[in-house]
Formats: sequence, structure tokens, C-alpha cells
Amino acid sequence: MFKSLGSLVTRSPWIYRLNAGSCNGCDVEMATTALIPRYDVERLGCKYCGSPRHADIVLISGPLTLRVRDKVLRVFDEIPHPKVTVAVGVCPVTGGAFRDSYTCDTALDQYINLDVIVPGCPPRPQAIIEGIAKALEVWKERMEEGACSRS
Amino acid sequence: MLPFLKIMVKNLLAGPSTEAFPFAPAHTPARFRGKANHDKNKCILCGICRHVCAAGAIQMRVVEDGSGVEYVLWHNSCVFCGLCAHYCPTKALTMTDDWHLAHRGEDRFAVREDSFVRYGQCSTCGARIQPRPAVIVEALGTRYPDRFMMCPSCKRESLAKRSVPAKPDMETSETSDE
Amino acid sequence: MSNILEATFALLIFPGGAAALALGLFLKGIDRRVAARLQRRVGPPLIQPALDILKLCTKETLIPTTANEAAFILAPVLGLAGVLVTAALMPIGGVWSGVTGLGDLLLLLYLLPIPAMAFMVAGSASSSPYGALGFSREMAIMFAYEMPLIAAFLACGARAGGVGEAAMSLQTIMNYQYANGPLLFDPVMLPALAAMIIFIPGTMSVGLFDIPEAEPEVIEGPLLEYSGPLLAAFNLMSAVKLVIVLELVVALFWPNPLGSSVIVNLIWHVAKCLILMLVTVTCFRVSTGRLRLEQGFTVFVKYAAPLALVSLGLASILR
Repeated sequence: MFKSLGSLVTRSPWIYRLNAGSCNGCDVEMATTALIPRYDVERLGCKYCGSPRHADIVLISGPLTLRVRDKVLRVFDEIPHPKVTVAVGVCPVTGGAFRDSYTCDTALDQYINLDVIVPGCPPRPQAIIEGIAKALEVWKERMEEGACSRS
Repeated sequence: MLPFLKIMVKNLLAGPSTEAFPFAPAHTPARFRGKANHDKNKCILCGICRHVCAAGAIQMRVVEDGSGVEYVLWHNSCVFCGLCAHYCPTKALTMTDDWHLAHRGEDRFAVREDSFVRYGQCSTCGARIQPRPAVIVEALGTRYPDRFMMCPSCKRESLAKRSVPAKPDMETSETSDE
Repeated sequence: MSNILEATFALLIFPGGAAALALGLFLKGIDRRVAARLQRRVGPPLIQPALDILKLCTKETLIPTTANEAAFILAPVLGLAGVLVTAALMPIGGVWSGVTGLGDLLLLLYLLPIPAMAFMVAGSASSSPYGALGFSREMAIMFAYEMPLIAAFLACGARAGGVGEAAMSLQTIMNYQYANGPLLFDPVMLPALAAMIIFIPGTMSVGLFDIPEAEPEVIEGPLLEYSGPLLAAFNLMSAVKLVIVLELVVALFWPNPLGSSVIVNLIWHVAKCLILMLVTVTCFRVSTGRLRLEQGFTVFVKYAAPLALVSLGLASILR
């Protein structure tokens, strides 16, 4: 039904930040990307939202520590489809500097499908914007395929 | 009174201070540590990079036929600390200023620095030694260029020959030992 | 028959319905763009609010299992319907006379809280603690900002009314202004105008009065659990509410048309709304932080309401 709207719909990505036990480095860079006039993501139509129910693009940071694992997965389920996940930093993919730590048993990508990965420790704001641009492509493809519902 | 009014007017007059980035190339500072680059023609396989790597992003595996080493640096594990480049004796590892690393999730195992470093050969007996690229020869091997290209045992041999007065019988007996 | 057709046209196309939605989204777009410029950013394109609505319509609707489903769905729908009806009743100087007859100001007084009511129902129906917090905050702040609103209504009515009676009709107030010049330039009415200028950000929950929806505190309060088309309905509701509130203040204080041409008058009306919005919403929300609930309450009770009452008193004495 919405297949032809892909290019219009992807001009309004609302972003939600999900911290899966990150060291806060990536979160600081994400806050920088969101807030300071130099990077102004609102040009792309982005808006940072506080509620997972409003989100389209999820920026995940952190290696998924055992303590937050269930909560992160629960919040992730609250996000309505179609959603695109962007891993910010290397932690969600491999664990980065926290690999083999006793606080995390396995990396985040064993639980959540990561659509776009922005490596870095932390990545610079421009790289995060580049990741968001890639995520918009993924979203558009999904809208065209129509493969974006929960069922 | 009301200083924010002054700031608002000033901001309105100054115009946006936004970079054009997603629509135009961004500025990258000099000495920015982007993805690491491995030059297989300079590598001497000393392994110091793997030893100092905080994130364990570097793997070195001898290939099955023993002709060289498969060198893999995973950008998705690397934390961009630059220790490997700092400790690399031949500057085979360098941090480039390339930060365009964002990629699709399904390509995650393709985002890596992949190179194959061939072992060197002893100039005398042909045994397997560490590679001897030009950089390390210029740095360490200029005093005894011949001996530098040998394997340890040939090197010992040539050293022994140099310290002993050259007598024909000695020489023949030593070679017959081996 | 023609009356019914006219009413349907007014409700669905102009000035309610489609026209109000378009004007609301346009004003929201300008608001975001100018706010970005004030913060030295480029800002989104002007059609961004419309794109947001379109995007939200393609999203999934999630309803919490513990929520009261009927109230959860009906709250945004009824809120949007309420503001659209109200928008059809708002007069536009020289273009549309709005609802006529005695006591239409009272009708507006009853219709104006509908969006706030929808918010409260949404907050309590979503069964989320943040929604409940937003609900209680919205209710408290509504009690506070209704006071200066009623006092300003009465003041305008007293100024425009004949001897011994206040005119509770927008049409009478507008006719008075056509005859005697806008109330904006009437020194007696200046305190009431100040009260209304405090009322606009209060009812729109921006800047100092961003109390019920405070994103960092209660995560958008009643809107927390909403997603997809229902959230789009809430966004549309707030856009139309902005139009209503601006049109109300314009009608009360400066409804005078520019000439006899309908098109010119319409542009003039939109321009007045735009200027009012830039001052009371955009600049206000960019330059101020949030107050606590009791501080926000104090602003209305201690400053805005007495200001409007001063105007009411002066207008009654200096008739």
C-alpha cells in the first residue's frame, strides 16, 4: 500500500537512542550530532524522540551487558515497525574493548539484527550522519519490498 | 536586561553555522585516526601490533602450505587507539584519515584489512625466515648487507668463519660436519 | 439546503477542515525553520510537519495491553474532530464571519479545552505512569490558564459592549473594532493583551510552560505510548489548536481587514497569525527553559489573571 511513498516517508526519520551498557563515549557523540548547530541533523528531517514508540531509526551503542540485556530487548520490541537499527561504535558488533568481559556474554548482534554498522570508538559525528543516511536507504528498500511489518 | 534577545538577533543575523556535510565532503583534521592500513611490502611479521592491540583486532595465521602469513585486521573490532601504528618498527601499519566506515550489517565480515605476507628466504640455504623488506634492510642491514639476509644458522656460520683464520682444512672439516 | 451545504463546506474545506490543517502544518513548518535559524542551524524543509504526518501514517499502531483500548483510540480522534469543528467557527476578518449570534464566545470557551481534555484522556487511558504524570500536570496547568482567558474575554466584551452589559459575542467585539479601531492600540486593553500573550505558550505547552509534555522529564507525557496514525492525529490536533488560538487572539485584538478583497484579507490574516506565532511561540520556546508545575501555575494566577482583570476593571469604569 505504501510502496510508492518510500522516498517521501524516509525524509522524516525520528531517532531513538538505545544504550546497551555503553561507556557513554558513543552517547556523547550522538548527543553532539543531535544538538549542536554544526551538524544539524534536522536538515534530514531527523528528530530525537524520548519514547521508543515514536522511533523509526534506533541508534544502539554498547556491548549489551548482562544487567541491561532483558530491558534493552524489551524496549527494542516496543519500537513500531518499520524500524531500522544502526549500531554506533564497534561494541554492538564485536564487544570492542569489552570483549570477553565477565559483564557481557555475547555481542548484541546475536539478539538484534543490525542493519547498519558505524565502526569507531567512538565514531565521529559525521560518520554517524553517514550511518543514518545508509539507514534511510535500508528503510526505503524495505518500504519498496513491503517487508516491514511485525507479522 | 533580557540578554537572550540580543543573542537571538545576533544568531539571526550571523546565519547558520552548519557544515554542508551529508551533501558535500566534510573536513577531516590532520592526524585524525581513521581506519588502519597495513602495507604487506613493509611488514616483517614481528607481531608487536598483535601484542599491543587492546581490542584483539589483529590476527596472524600461517597459511597451510607454510609459504607466508595471512594478516587480518578487523575494523569492527578496532578501537582506533593507534598503538599498533605507534609500535610498528617499519611503519607498515599506519592510521589513515579515512573515517567512511559505515556499512550495511550483512557486510560486517567484509570490513577488514586483509593481506598476505610472504616469508623471506635465506640468501644462502633458502630456509624460511622473516621477510626482509627494503625498509628494514635500510634501517638495520646496511653494515653487513650479506649476513642480514641469512637465516640464523647461516648467520652463525658466517660469523664463525669470519672470526677463525681461513685454513683450508678447517673449512672443509666444518662443512663436512654439517 | 444551501445552509447545510455551506456548513459542510465550512467544516470540511474552509475555514475548518482542510484549510485549517494546511495552515496549521504551514505554521508549524515556519516555526521549526525559524527556531532553527535562531539557533544558528539550517532547519528542516517547510513541508517537514506534513512529511512527519505522512510517515506516521505508514507506521505500526501499538496499543499497550493494560490500556483502556476504546479511550486510547478515541482520545486523539475526538480531539482532532473537536479542533476541526472549532476552527470552522473562528471568524476571519473580512473573509468569514464564523459562528454568529449571542454567546458564541461562551461556546468557544467550552470548545477550547477539548484538545487538553483529549490529552488528559489519552494520558490516563495509556496506563503508563508517565502518562498519568502528564495527565495531572495538564489538568493543573489548564485550571491556571483558563483564568486569564476568561478574564480577557470578559474585558474585550466589556470594552465592546453597550452600557451596562458585556458583549459575549465575537461578532459584536469585531464590529466594535471595525468602528473604533483595533483593541490592540487601545491602552485600556493592553494588560489583557499581555495576559493573552502569556496564555498562548501556556495552552500550546511550549517554552516556560512545556510542563505536561516535558520530554526530558516525563518523556512527552500522555503521548509516550502513542505510535503510528494515532500519534499523527495528535500532531494534527496540536497544529490546528495552534491555528485556533492564534485566530482567537487576532479576532479579539486586531481583526481589521486590509481592504475589501477576500484574497488580500486572507493573506493579511495569515500574516497576522504568523507574526503572533513567531513572537509568542517560536522566540519564546527558543529562548526559555521549563518552569516547575507550581511556578507555571503561579505565572498565570499571580501575573496573567490580574493583568486581564485590570483591563476588565478599566473597561467597565471607562465605558
